[in-house]
Amino acid sequence: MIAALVPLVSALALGAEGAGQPSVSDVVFEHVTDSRVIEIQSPFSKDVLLEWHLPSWPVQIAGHTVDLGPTKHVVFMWLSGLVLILFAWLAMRARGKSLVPKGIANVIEMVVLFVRDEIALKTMDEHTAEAYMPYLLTAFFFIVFSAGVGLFPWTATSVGNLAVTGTLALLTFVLMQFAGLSHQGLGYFVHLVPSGVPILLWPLMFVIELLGMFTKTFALCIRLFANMIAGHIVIFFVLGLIFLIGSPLVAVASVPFAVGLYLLEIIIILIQAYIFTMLSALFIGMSAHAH
Amino acid sequence: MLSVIFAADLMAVQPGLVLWTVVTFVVLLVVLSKVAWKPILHLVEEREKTIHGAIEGARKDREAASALLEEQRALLATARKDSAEAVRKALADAEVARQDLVAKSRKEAEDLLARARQQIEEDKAKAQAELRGVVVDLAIEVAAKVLGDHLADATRQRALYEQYVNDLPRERRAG
Amino acid sequence: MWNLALAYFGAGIGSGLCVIGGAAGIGRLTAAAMEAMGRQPSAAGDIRGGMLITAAMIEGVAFFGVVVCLLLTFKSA
Repeated sequence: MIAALVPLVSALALGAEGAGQPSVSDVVFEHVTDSRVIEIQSPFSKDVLLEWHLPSWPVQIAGHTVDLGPTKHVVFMWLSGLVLILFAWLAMRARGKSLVPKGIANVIEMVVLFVRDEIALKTMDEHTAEAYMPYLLTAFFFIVFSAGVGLFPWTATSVGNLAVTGTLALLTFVLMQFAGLSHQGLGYFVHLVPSGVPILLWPLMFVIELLGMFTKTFALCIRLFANMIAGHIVIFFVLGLIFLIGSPLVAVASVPFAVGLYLLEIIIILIQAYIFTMLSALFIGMSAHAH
Repeated sequence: MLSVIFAADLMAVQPGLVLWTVVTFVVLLVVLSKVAWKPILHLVEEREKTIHGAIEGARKDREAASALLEEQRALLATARKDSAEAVRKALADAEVARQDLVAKSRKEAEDLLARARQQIEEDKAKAQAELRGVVVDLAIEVAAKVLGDHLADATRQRALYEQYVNDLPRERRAG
Repeated sequence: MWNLALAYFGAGIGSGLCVIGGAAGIGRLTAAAMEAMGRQPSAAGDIRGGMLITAAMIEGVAFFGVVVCLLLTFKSA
């Protein structure tokens, strides 16, 4: 066991570069990071069946050059968005105007009811919940579908990118501020500090709460990102053990383990989508109602 | 060390991606709100309203039915009470009538009895008077036969006997 | 090379400690939540929701630590 681990550890630590062969960690990180190339590799050889170089659109914004060219993650985000719209459209078509859902409309309606009853109505009052339901539902389905698309071969998980999760968290942050200001006006900033705090502690608490607002958002972003990417990295490394150790016998252990992790990923996607939506609703609700 | 470069990329935030995420998310939000969320939430609300209405209607129907049942039951009880009352009253009336009849017949019988008794009394008195006359005449005759015309003044003697008979004790006369 | 090794060492040990802390926290939380669910099965839904949210908070803190360790490896390279 120890003897088997030694080459693995050394390979991971040093990248095991030799004769232009990419190491296992190179392959793994290449799969989970964003890039300008989408390539479909043959499952049986090292041949690349299809290689698509994405265009680069440099744009000057406020003195900085921003590349607006779509990357791998952007393309798969669009793909997941299209799949989501198609799914919703098919569900609505199957259902029609009938009060009783049928077919895949059941799935979508179950989730909608869950988000409404278990997430929105438990964290906000009825009126606020109605206003923020579209955002919560879209966030939930966006996370589920973009991570779900990433589970298929040759695809990428767009929500496993810090920029994407950061943007989602930023949208929640913007809605938190909007909810606070629209429900409480400027009193929102006064009510940041819970009532009952001694007057001497007030400035300190205010700073802490203000910082807390940003850490909440940051945690939202990091949590989603890390959960989405950790599963992929672990699955790749478990499969990579076969090549690191260099014996096909390892596959007997690592392939079932990878399949188990893959199934775990499905659960994690659903749980993380729930947690992101729940926490967003909680934060928005806390901003909307003084406490 | 290629992997470290990739790993550093892992934590990088590209502004282009942020922009595209915002655009994609907002487009999804608008499209899905129109295609799915609004209609689904509307239908769900409508269905809940329908179910609520149905439950409410059933509850109301049940209440109405039970009220009706109560009313019927009350009506039945009243009817039963009325009929019992009527029977009781009829019985009482019959009893009164019977007692009236009995009383009347008893009175008639008593009247009849009284009248009969009176008649008997009268007849008895008449018979006594007649008997008294006969006895007086008989006594005079016997006395005349015994004395043989000693008594000239018959009328005076008759008065004498009559007075004697009348002076007899009353009890003996009544008996 | 010695410094690099130290940085990798620190990052590895640090991320391991973060995972230990997160696992301990989530373990205690879940034990308490399961016990509460056992005592009060009617409130299981609410307890599960609260458990998931709190677990997410603990997990978030653990991830912070892991991210710091990750940054340490990138910086040291």
